[in-house]
Amino acid sequence: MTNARRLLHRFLRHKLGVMGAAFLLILCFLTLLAPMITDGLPSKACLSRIYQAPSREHIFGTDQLGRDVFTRVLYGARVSLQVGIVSVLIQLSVGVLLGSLSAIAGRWMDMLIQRVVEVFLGFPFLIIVLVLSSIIGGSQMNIILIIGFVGWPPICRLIRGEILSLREQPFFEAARAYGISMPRLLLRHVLPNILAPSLVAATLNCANAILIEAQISFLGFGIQPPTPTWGNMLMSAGQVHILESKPWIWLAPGIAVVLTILSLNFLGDALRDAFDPKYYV
Amino acid sequence: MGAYIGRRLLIFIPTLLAISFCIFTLLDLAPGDPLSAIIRPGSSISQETIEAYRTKFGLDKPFLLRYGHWLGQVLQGNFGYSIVTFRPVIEMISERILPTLWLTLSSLALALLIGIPVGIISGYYRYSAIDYVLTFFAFAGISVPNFFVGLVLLYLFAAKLSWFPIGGMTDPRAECQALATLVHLVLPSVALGIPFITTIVRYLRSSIIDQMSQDYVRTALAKGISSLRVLRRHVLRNSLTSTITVVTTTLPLLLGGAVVIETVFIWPGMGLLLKTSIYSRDYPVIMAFVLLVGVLIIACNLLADMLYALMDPRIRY
Repeated sequence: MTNARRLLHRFLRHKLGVMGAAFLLILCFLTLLAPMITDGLPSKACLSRIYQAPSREHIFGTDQLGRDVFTRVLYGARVSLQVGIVSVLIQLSVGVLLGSLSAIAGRWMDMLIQRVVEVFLGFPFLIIVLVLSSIIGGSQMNIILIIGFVGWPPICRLIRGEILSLREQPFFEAARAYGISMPRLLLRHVLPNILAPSLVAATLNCANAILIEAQISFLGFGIQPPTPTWGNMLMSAGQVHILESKPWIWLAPGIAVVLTILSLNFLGDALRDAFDPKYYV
Repeated sequence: MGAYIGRRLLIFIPTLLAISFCIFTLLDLAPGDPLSAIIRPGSSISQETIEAYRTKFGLDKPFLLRYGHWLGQVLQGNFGYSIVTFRPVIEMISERILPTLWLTLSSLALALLIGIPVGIISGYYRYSAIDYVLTFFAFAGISVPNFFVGLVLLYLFAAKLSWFPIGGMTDPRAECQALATLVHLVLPSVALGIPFITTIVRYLRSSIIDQMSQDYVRTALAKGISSLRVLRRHVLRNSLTSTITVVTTTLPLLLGGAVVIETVFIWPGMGLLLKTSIYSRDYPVIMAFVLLVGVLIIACNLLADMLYALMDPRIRY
């Protein structure tokens, strides 16, 4: 079996991971098709149909302004997925860059970067993001930038550890003994080896980014209504009568968050198992 | 031990300074200064009066001077005044500490009570059906956002079943205030504790699995000691030590969850204070809060080190 097929085979054995991947694919598909499936107007109020329970016409019901909850959940998914993907790309670039710099340069550079990492890791992530978003404002772009530039330390630490342990491997020593240049060494020998752990970390961090965005918007500091996000849709549950007697308004976005994060976590776990030969002795 | 702790404290001082400097810089870059927050737009205060007050409060001084002044005051325990309520920051925060302490401690107790047995069972019967079920729930636990857990708990147990109150901390009609507070405490601590349970379960499980494959366990088993006894006498001692250390260092992270949970349950703690302060851009309160979290992190890390040394006789500092 080729390497890729073996990976796929191992991945497919992880049932929950496959289910997670399937859910995420369907979600991406639905979000892309959102303008076609729905009327494409997630923020359009219609006061003649407020607080309607789920029905054939509005499968998730309508909210306090008569907006279709299903449409809003789908458009909210756009925001969540964008926040998740783009902020993780930022985290990956910063984390991989600083992590390899830390491992390769060593000495005071390593010391400095690792102290910064420790401070970031010790602080409650949500509180940093909250304080920063209160200072620079909570637009979607700002939230992405904040999560991206605050959430890189776990990846940095991971990459540093991977490279440090790679440097001790005989093949690395052999490659250096052959006189292979540093850039080539990094590209051909280090990069393939850190790809797998980075991908796993990216999946798990993506789940966390979506969770953080939902929490920030839920608290009212993130992306502002009328733009629908899962977090600010859940905010309406703060009103007791909605919480109590119109549960469809907040259950739909809540379950969407749960399923998405669960899928990403299962996917990350399946990828970790698939990449790690230790699990299949 | 004393020397070790002293050294750790010395390392933390520059870290804390760096944090405070970063936050001060960021808040300084934020639009508007404390005066513009106090003066209502369209009020008839003249520009000269504003300038006079700027001079009086030292807002016209250069950035570094203001930072130095602020730091000096903080070291004397003066965190300044809220620019919204005009009350001393220290007073506002200290009256919020107890509710948050109750909330986090009861979540911690809950997490330990459930997390430790579940983690042990999961690790001891690793890769069995029961382990898979427990691991699945542990996964669900970190994936379900705690504010959603809170909302569902409120919906089921407060709105539908009316077993618990819908929010707040006290009930003026109750005969026994302590009991009323306890009843109010149940749902928020469950909601805050669930992700924490998961952390404990996952860590303890992997630690037990790791320990069970060590040579000393094989030796003990080879000598004919029953595996339950090996677990109790040898493995648990090692695994619990490291787990409790991890729990202690992750304790400050509960504060992040507390912001959300206190909002959901209208629990009058520090999280709710931070939320309202951020909402009204009450920077002195935000600064004090962030510094307090920093101190808390340091304290928890030191506590973890000391616990580790207490529980593991091999550790010597």
